[in-house]
Order: sequence, then structure tokens, then C-alpha cells
Amino acid sequence: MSLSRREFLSQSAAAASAVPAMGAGLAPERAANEDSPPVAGPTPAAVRLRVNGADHELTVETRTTLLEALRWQLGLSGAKEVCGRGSCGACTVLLDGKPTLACMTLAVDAVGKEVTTVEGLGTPDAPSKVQAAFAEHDAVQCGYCTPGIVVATEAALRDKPGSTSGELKRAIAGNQCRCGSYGKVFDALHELSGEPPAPVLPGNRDASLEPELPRVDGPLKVCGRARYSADMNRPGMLFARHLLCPFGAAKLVSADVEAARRLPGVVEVEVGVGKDYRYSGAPAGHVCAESQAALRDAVAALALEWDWEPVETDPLSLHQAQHGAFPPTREDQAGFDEADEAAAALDGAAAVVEAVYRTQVQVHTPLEPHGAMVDPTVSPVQCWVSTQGTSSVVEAMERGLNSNKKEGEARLTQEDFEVRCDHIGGGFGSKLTPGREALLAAQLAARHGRPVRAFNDREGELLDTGNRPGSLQYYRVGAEADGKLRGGFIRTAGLVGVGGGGGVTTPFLYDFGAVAKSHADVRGPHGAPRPFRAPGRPQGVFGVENLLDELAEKLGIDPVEIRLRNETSEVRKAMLAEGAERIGWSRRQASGSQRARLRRGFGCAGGDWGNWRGQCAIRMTAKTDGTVHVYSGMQDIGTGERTVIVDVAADALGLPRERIVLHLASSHYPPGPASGGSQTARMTAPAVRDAAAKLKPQLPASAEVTVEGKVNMDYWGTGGSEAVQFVELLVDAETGVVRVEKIVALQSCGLAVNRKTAENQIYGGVIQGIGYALFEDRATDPQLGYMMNANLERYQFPGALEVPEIVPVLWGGEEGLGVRGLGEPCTIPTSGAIANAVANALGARVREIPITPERVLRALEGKS
Amino acid sequence: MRRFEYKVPDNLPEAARVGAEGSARRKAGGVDLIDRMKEGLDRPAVVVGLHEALSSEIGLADGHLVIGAGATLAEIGRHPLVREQLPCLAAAAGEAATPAVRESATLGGNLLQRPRCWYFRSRHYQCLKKGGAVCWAQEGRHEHHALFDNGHCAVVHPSNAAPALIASDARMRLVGVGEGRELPLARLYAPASADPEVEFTLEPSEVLAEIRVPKRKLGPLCAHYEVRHKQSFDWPLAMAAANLNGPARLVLGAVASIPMEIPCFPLEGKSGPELKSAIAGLAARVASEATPLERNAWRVPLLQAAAQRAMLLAGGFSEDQW
Repeated sequence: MSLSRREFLSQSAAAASAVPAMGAGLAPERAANEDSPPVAGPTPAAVRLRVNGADHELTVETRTTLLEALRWQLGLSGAKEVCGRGSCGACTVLLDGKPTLACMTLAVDAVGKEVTTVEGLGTPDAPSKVQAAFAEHDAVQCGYCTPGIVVATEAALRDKPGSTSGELKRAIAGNQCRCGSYGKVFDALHELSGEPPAPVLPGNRDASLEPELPRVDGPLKVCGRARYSADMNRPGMLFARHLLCPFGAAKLVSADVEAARRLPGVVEVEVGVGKDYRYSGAPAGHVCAESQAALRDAVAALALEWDWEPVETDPLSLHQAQHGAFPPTREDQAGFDEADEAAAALDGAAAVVEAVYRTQVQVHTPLEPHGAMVDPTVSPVQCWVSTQGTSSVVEAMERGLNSNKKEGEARLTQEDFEVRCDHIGGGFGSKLTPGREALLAAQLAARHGRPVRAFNDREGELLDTGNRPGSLQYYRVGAEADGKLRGGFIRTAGLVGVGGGGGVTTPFLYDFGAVAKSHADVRGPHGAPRPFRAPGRPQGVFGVENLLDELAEKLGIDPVEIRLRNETSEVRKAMLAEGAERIGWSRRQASGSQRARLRRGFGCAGGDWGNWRGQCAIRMTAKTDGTVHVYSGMQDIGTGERTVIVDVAADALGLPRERIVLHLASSHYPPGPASGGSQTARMTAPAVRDAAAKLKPQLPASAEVTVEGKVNMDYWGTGGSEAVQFVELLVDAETGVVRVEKIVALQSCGLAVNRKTAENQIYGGVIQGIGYALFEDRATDPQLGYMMNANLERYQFPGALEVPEIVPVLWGGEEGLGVRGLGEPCTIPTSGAIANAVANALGARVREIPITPERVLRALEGKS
Repeated sequence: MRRFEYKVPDNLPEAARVGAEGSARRKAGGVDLIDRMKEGLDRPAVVVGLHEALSSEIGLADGHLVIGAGATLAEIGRHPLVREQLPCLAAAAGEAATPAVRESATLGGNLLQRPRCWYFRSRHYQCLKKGGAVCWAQEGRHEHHALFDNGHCAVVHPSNAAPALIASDARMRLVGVGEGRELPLARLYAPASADPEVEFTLEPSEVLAEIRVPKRKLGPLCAHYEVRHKQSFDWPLAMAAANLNGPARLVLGAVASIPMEIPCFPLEGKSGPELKSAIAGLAARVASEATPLERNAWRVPLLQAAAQRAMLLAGGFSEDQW
């Protein structure tokens, strides 16, 4: 029988004296008289928590959160720490049946209550009804938010059996999914609501392998059993974190290092006092301690004091100072390469549009932060890194693990350590390179000979782990009377913080004629960009697609018509025609013709992705028990790479899925591509087929046999991956609030190996595109340069109630066995299509994203 | 969070007494307090848990609607009595934050939460509310800040239950070490222009125990309306509650450092098209009196829309009649 919370409090006050005090805590209050309330803490005390039907004895402080107790003391890592502030729902558990945020709940407040975590609902072998529906419908991508969504759904159905799908959507409105798995989550909620199944869309021209099976690691993820690098826990593990300069320019004038070092449990403190830091998020040292609480105590004890100075953050002012005026003067433009041809093109144009478009800085904010847990106490040394490329962090780990080696001392080689990454809680490009967090974990592990966990908190994650650079885009482009583009001038700028690589993909998609173009990167007091899902292209599409609609408007041509006239891809031409049909383009009214409060708009835009070659090695071993073991160093970021390998292998070998045993994501397996550039499926599929072709003749194996496969061009997909999206939305002309109602996403990717995971990617790309178009923005303080919304409360991306009806149309046909990229092209068109739909609804154009109520109202004001 | 002693009294006078000591902080659901403690804004040596002392009952007494301050927003949002008798409060509570937050957050905590100003909420900025010398919002990012009375400290009071309750003439029962007192809920709030560090008129020795809504303000003619950018977890850009049961009341939220009461005499005695036009006039007048900062004037039309829509909904005009 468990103690009641009141009993715990009474007893722990008495028991406290038996527990050694940690640090300079206050003495526990003794009951002075009978009227005094029960009291606990501040010293740690033993409590009994009832979790998933079993009692657990553990020692906690009053300040220990339920989430910390579950994750670090009870080894239940299904509930995740993402925002740490009750904003994201990833730590949702049931407390006496009610959905509860474990990160905002004191562990002592859970005493005497029934705690149920995602692990307590079911197991991969015996999932709950909710878990089974989620796995079946592929309601998961990276899976880091999934346990929270599963628990929230469970709570809603327990509270009200027979909830409608609409009620269930509202029940998960507090669960933030960064991958955008909502489309498939809604399918699962629909089934759970018991509402009749939605009609299957006619004419979905896809090609995918049969039968359509669910994701292979779905059950693991929906049951909270998938172990991410941030979940790794070892006895004696140390916790470490960098200290960051919050301001754009500041000197660290003081830090009470001695006070921090004196605290019990603090292992190492290094701070760069007296130094100048030149951007918000710049590392200024690190702290390492025995526990998360000791780590935080040390950071607080340091009492860092900054002498800041004001910084310039306005993109136009920065551009002016570094590169002159933006937009460029006519004289500047005359200096662009091929300016004469561009000027001539404009001379003969029937219409010219001169406009500036702007895009914001978008932050990746994967739900699993950047970092690693490095365990040097085992052989080989285990490096659990949250990475998009197990092979791309090997060198950094080698450097870190050897950082304490003296001249002549034996060094660890790549055989002596292993980079692992079973599951990744999102990355979107920001985890392609080894971050400083993983390096810190390796260095500290080497120095202290103990397992070390170094992961960012959410603020650190948002300040300096990469971003999609913002852009300024100037166009002066002309067209013939029939809409054919003639050419003109384009100047772009990338807002790159202290980094580079702010290029904007423009001109793009269409034949622009004679273009004179220039670009400059504009530096500022912020973290450097990193690749972000289709680098450069969403920026470029926003400019190009707005421009096309503005030209169409001037010339009195339909937006679809002007695209057909300038398209460079026959596939996208066909998609434009079919997409127009599917969205009901004929319902589109002339821009600016509506007077009602709610105004309906339609818009479209395109995207594409290349199909360049790369390397991938696959090892396949046939065992005598009839199984085939497949080895790849590659990782599954949530796109469904495991499923792709298993399904292609099963198809090529003619075996059922159960006979394929996959070994993934170790630096000791044959190297595969990073999860970037939409390349994992298109590289692995031909390599797996190559290996299977060699192995199949030797089956069934009478003795163990191993073959190696590589990218075989016989199985290569031809052509690029094309995308066209159509949007229907409503704008409230009084409040400026935009509500997207429907998006038709036409997408070619060759053979969609697994239809469910492929559609899921499209949902995710579209949903991230909605975030880019409407919500996401780094809000920088113009005074000190800090990111005011370095949290998940104010850095906003779509939640369940922002997700419209999305119709993914897999565009197949000619591909045969060829697989092409999918993850990136599907996020490119969305912002351009939404901007054009808003302009259509209002007759006024918002030339900057995100399209906020403020910008909508200002555009409407400018029109009147 | 620094280490703290955790005291859990089982009665309100005791909660009032121990909560008044030194740097003690009272905690109900903990949604706001733990957030501030994690940021390091509050570093209490003693936390007083109120959950055993506070009532969470919801019921009628002498025709008044009585709600214990310990009732959660979720309980209020789904309670049949509240949904029927005070739909504006049911909507305000039922749409706040997220489902899981609503399960923990109490009515008392919602009414007593501190502003969400991102300068105040960041440990990196020392502002007027924290004894500093400047309001960083004045020259900084103030898109979510006050549209009224904002020249000194520009926070907005974030509670979304407060406008609905003040529009319903709610009174609060405060329990102190002595006899306690009952006051209009509106008197709980102190404007930032008076003293930015003081948001509430509560004495340190007082606990907000209970909310009572008089019979005359119960009924279907009330509504709460929020303009939000996002529907899933977002703070309102403007919010209004109107209660036309009995004498008309309109209260604005998220636009000033206190819930803002707007005199409603233009609505008195009107109905049908006449009422509708008086509502439009009143909403326009409210908007015309705003004194926005440089970069939040765009929210004035949102405020006007929220005020107008809350009154229209309260007056029985459905969305297609707006």
C-alpha cells in the first residue's frame, strides 16, 4: 500500500534528519506545535511513487519534478523533456487518469496518486487500443512527441468514451509535433472516434510496394520504448551543459566560479570571464555535475554578470552598413553581371513588377535537443549522439575522446568507439554536423572516465544550433503580354548571423529569360545558419511565386495560366492541371472582389528537388535459420528509413518482412548517407537491391553467407522530384487571422516504397510549410539582440488545430523500381501558395512571412 | 529551482499564516509558480501547497454561483452548471492554454498569474517589475504589450477568467489570518502605472478562497471572445467578455495591466438592430481610446473586434449575424 501524500509529508520531515543534507539547505522545520502543517524538504527524502501499477521507493527533493523522477530515477524515458515549461505536452502522463505535464509537477505532489506513463498503457507486443491505432496509421515520425500525444488521446477517451474526432483533435491541441505528423495522427484519431472511415481519394496515382504495411518501428515509438540518445542513462552519469552569452554583444564581467565549484555534486566549471562575446548564443564555458539539479545549482551560483552593449539587428540597416542600400539603386543594378541583357528584356516587357519580398529566420527546434551521452566505461566506448549522420560525427568524437591524451600516449581509434543513434527526435538539417554539445560530452567523458550526458536546454537549442537564414529579395522582372517571362534584375541577401550560406534559390522553377542577379550575405549578432530542409528553396519560392502572381494580376492572366506558360517541367505542368481540378480552382474569385468579413482565397506554387548521386554501402548476411540480417550505418530520423530498407529487402528477396532483421545506425556498420538532402531512401534502395540481387541466388542458405551492396545505377530513379501545391484558405478581414482550410500536395518521388511513410513525409513538409508561412519567426530584441521567444511558448509552429485538410497525391507512373527524394521538395511550395491565396482573398499582398494578423491588416490598410 | 521547504496546510487560515512568512510562495496547480521558479525569477525558501486547503467545489448557494479557488480550469470548463449559468466563464476556462494545463491550473492561480511580458519572464532582463530602471518593452519588442496605460510598464494582465468574472460582477472571498473579507473581484488588480512591482491588492497574509457570482448576472446572455493567431496553445492578442444578464458589462483582457472595465450605458434597454448598432458604436469608441505603443497599434482593430464579437455573442447574435 502506498503512503498518502500527507503521510509522506509527515514522515519525510521526521526522516529528513537521517538523510545526509546536500549543500547548504535549510534545516527541515520541526513541528513546533500541533497546528503546524506537515512539511518536507529542503533535504532529500524517501518517497513511494505508484507508477504503472507498481510501487517504487525513491529519494527526491521537494523541487524534483515528476518528469525527472520518472526519467532519471525510474528509467521510464517515454515521457520526454522538450520545452521544460509546460508548453509542448511531450512529458504528458496520467495522474489519477488526468493528463498532466510531468515537467511542471513536483514529484512529491504525485505521492499517493496513480501515475501512468506511456509505458504503462501497453507494450509493442500488447499495445493499447490507442497505441495500436497510432502504429497502424503511421501516426508518428521522429516519435519524440508521440508518447505525449498517445497519453493525451488515452486521457480524452477515458474521460469521454466515444469522443468525436474533432474532440480528440482538441484534446491533443497542447501537444506540439515538430515533424508535422498530425495528418496521420488524425487518421488514427478518426479510427478511435468510431466515426465511419473517410472515403478513399479517387485517382491517387501512386506507385508503392504491396502490401502496404505500417512502419516497422511504429510499435516501439507509440509505446514509448524507442530509446533516443537523450534518453540514455548510466550509473554514475555526469550532466553537462554549455553556458551561453544571451546578448548580441557583451563582456562577461564576473562569474562566481568558486561558489559554483564549492557546491556538492559539481564536477567541473569553466567560464571565460573577462572575454567579449559577439553574438547571442555564443558559448562562454561549461558546467559538469553529478545531477541535473546540481548542474542548475552551479549555473545559478555562477551569477554570470554581463556588460552588454546595444547591437544593430535590423536587416535593412545591416545591409546598408555592409553592402549599401537595399533595394539596390538603378545604378547598382547596372553593375550586375549581364545587366545589359536584363535591361533589354525589361525594355520590351508588357508588364514589369518591381517588389521586395522578405523571409524570416526560421529555427529548427527539433524536439530532441542537440547533444550526446558518451560512456567511456565500456569497450568499445559508446557515443550515443543525436545526429543525422552517424558517420559524419565520427571524427569529432575521435577528437573529443582523445582530447586528454598526452604526446605519445595511445589514442583511441575508430575501432575503439562506436557512434550510435537508434532514434533521433528531429533534426531538419541542424544535426548534420557534429555540434559542440557532442564534442563536450566526449571531452568530459575522456577527462573524467565517466559517462557524460551533454544536451542543450530549450533556450540553448533555440539560440545557437542553426537556423534557416532570413532573406531580402528584390525583383524587377518583366513579362510579355501573354505572361511569358522576359527577365530583369534580382538582388538577394541572406541574413546569416555570424555564419554564411544565406543563398536564395532564385530564379527558380520557371524560365525567367535574361536575369541579372547578385547576392550578399548580411552578418549580424546571431548564431550561424545550418542546412534546413531544402536550403534556400522555400525562401526562393516565396519570392518567385509571389512575383508570378503579381505579374499575372497586372496582365490579367490566371495564375495557373502564367505558370503553364513559363514552367520548365512537364511533370509540374500536369500537376498544375490536376491540382487545379482537385482544389476546385474554378471557385477562385477575382482578387479583391470580396467584401465579406471572411474572405476565401486560392493559391498555388511549385517546388523541385534534384536527384544527384551518392554513396551507400549495405551488408547482408543470410543465416541458416532463414533470416536475412541487413547492416547499415545509416540512421532513421523519422522518415521511415528502417521501413524503407526492410520493405525493399523483403521485396527484392521475395521474403516476408519478419525474416528481415535490420541492424542500423552504428559507425561500425557499412557507412550510409546522412539524413539530409532527401537522400537516404534513394541511396539505400538501389544499394539494398544490389545486395539482394547478389544474395538471392544463394538462398536458402545452408551456411551463413554475407554479401556487400552499393548504389547500383540499374535501380536508380530517373528525373527529379517535382512538387505543386494548391491552397484554399479563409482570412478574417477584421482581425487579419488566416485559417488554412485545405492543401492539395502533388508530389513525385518515383517509387514510394512505403505509402504510409511517404504520405507522412508530405504531411510533415506541408505542415512545416504552414508554420513557415504563418507562424514561425525569431523575435529579436532590437536593443540587446536576445531572441525573446527562445522557448516553445512564443516560438510558434502549427498545432493540431492549425492543420487543415491535407490531400497528399503521390505522383507515380514511369519509375519502375527507382526511388527519388521526398523529404524536402514537399515543404518548398507551401509558403508561396499560402501567400498567393491570402493575396487572392484580400486583393492586397503580404510580401513578408510569417503572414501575421499585423501584416494582413497593414496590407489591407495600404490597399484602402 | 533552488531547494525549498514544502508546507501543505489543510486549512486556509494556516495557509494564510505560513504563506505570509519571508519569501514564501503559495502554490495551487503550480503552472505559473514553477515556471517562474525554473527561470529563477522566484526563489522561495518555502512553498506553501494550497491544494489541501482550497475548496474546488462548484455549486449554487442562495442562487449565487460559488466556485472554490481550487477548482481547475478543466473542471470549470466542463461543469454543467457553469456551462448553463455562466457560459462566458466556461468558454474562457475551457479555451485557455492547453488541455493538460487546464487540468492542473486552478481558478485562483489563473486570476493571480503574473504577466507574460517576455522581458519580465526572462532572467536576462532586469526591468521595472523586478526593481530595474527601465521597461525594455518601450523601445523593444512590444507587439504583445498593453494598448492602454502603457507609458511606464507595458505588461498586460493575462488571466482569461478575470474578464468573464468581472463582467459578471464576481466577488472574491479572501481568507486572512483574521476574519477575512469579501470584495469585488475587480479590486484584486492594481495597475502597473501605480507601481510596476505590485500587481495584486492582496495582503501577504491573504489567500483567495472563493469566487461568487450574483444571481442577477447568471444566464445565457454572456460571452467570452479571444482573438488569437493560433488556436492550439496561444496567448490572446485581444480578449473581451460581455455579460448582458442584468446590467450590461464589458471587460477587456490582454490589453492593459489590469482587466479593463468599459462602461456600458449605451447598451442599456436596447435590443435587436438597435442593440447591434450600439454594440458597434461602443466597440469603436473603446478602440478609439487606445493609446498603443509604436509597434502594437495593429492590435487596436483586434481589440475592437473582440469587444464587438463578445457583446454580439452575449446579445444572442450568432456568427452569421455579425
